[in-house]
Amino acid sequence: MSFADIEELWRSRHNRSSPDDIERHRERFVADLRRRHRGFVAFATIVGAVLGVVTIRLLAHLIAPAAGDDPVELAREWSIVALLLLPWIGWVWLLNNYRRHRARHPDYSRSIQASVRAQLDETRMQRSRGRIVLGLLVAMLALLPLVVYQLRAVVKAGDEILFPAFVLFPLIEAGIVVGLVYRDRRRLRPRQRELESLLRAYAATENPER
Amino acid sequence: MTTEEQQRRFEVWLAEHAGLLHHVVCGFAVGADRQDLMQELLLAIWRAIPAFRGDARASTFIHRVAHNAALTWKRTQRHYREKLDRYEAELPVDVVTAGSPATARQDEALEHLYAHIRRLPPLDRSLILLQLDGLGYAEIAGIHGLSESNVGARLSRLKQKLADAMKEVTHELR
Repeated sequence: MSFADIEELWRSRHNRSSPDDIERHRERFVADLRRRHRGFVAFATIVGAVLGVVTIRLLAHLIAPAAGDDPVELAREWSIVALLLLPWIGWVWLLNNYRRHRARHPDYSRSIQASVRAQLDETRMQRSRGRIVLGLLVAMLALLPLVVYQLRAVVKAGDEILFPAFVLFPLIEAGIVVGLVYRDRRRLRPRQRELESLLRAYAATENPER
Repeated sequence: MTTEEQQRRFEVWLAEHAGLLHHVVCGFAVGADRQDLMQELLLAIWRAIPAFRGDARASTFIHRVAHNAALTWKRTQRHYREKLDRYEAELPVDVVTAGSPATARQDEALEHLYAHIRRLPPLDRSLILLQLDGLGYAEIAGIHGLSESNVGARLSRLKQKLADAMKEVTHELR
């Protein structure tokens, strides 16, 4: 079979998808798209609502505490503010990383090679994002004993804080760390290797003698 | 671009270019994975529609998006068996049995061709699929961000390799 025969075979009606197949793929895609959209909206709404409520309540307490509440004395309770600032610092840091990434690849859709480079950079960024989150979790864990000490010193918390602070919170953090490490090892690292291998194939095509 | 416009363009493109998506899917995946990859390609095209400015032909744009998605597609292992069962249940009964012996031979030759294409490294696979879909060296080079001369040299070798591999198949099918 010559290449011309192969091309003829390629153009034959056997090498086409039937209208039924196309319709089936389309229907499944529309259903999948709706499911993804609903999932994203639900996730964004829940996370946004929880974060929003917590932040607003805390700000209200800091700026204008209610009549019965003890006002926050920053000189003696600064660690709680530091603890609450950490996630925001992380968020700004991640946003900045993302902006830098977009600036490095303004025209990633120009070609597949450019797009693969951008995807590799994005995968590396996701891995570094994971490390940033890990660092923040460690920092929060390190800050926690000080928070407990200060809250107990100003008699805003008693022994009831010990279990959530030293058992529950570290357990939740450990769960997050396991999830992050699993994602890094099972998804991000193999993906990075695949993309690097694809870029090596591009380099080999451009420089066949190498 | 509104969602309605995006939806309209998606429908038109799917109707006009389903063939090239079928080629990419068969060239990169087999069995139940084809369903998965097809969904991946459709999602990639759906997301890429707002970025289409009309400075390239729609078919070139779709080729680039589809090949990009296929090259970076990762088969999901989760529930693989379940998906395989579902795929087999959905297979039309007459897929293997229909048609004359000549038709069956052609189907078989096509499957062999795809099998040989799938054995190539991913980038070569993509290059030969684009060539078989009738794209010129310049267009393929533009899609992949390679130089035209390198694409030409690479494809000459690939065409020869594929023709040699298919020679043996032709003998077997006779």
